[in-house]
Amino acid sequence: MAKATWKMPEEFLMKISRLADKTDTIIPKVLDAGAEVVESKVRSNLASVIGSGTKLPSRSTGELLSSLGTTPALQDKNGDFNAKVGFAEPRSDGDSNAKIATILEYGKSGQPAKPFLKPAKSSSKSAAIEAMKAKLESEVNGI
Amino acid sequence: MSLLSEIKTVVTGCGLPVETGVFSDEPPDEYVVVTPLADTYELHADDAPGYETQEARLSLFSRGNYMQRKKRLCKALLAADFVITERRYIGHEDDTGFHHYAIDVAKLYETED
Repeated sequence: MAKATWKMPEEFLMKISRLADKTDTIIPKVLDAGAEVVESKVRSNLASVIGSGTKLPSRSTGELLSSLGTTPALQDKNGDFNAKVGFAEPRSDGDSNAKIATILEYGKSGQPAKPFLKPAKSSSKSAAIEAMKAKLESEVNGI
Repeated sequence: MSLLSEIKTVVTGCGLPVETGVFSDEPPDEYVVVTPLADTYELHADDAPGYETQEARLSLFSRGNYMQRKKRLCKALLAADFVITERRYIGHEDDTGFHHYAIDVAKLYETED
């Protein structure tokens, strides 16, 4: 019976091996690159909805906007890496940034919604994927 | 047809009053508000986009049991070829007595020349 054998180039195999060793350091960098794009879009969307179309003069303090940030990319119990874009707590007035953000995003009866998170998610998806792909490629090439 | 007009047709077909942005009159015990979310050209290669994805959020406000309304609304939206991207109970507004339930939908539309 005929037998065929393929051998990968030694250099390539070494790269794969080094990549496996560095996965845990590369993935957080890649996620950070994607999160940076998403956070920037959320920030610009939020800035445009705060204080817009209010019945009374806006009492915005800028605290919600300044509390927006991204968590470090950390591994969860399933071994997956996650970075989250969201709001830090607490506020100086004792209220919750998450609550205010939810009311802005979803509105209330008699208060129109001013969505900023979902549109940011939809419109930054492609850009975030491209940013992560570019970062991954540069990290892999640097091995 | 546009996304908003199609949503309005579906919602009124379920017997619910609907407005875009905010309910202008004194609100009834059950109503829906539609908020446009995003329009994106997700599905195209190197050429000009032939389709766009339009997204909107339906906010169902109900002073009574919202479960049946929610089920009927979702069923009607799916039957009208909408993609439901998210469903979420937002909460009970203690000051107004309304339950607030959000349904996000998306649909593909051919781009107009």
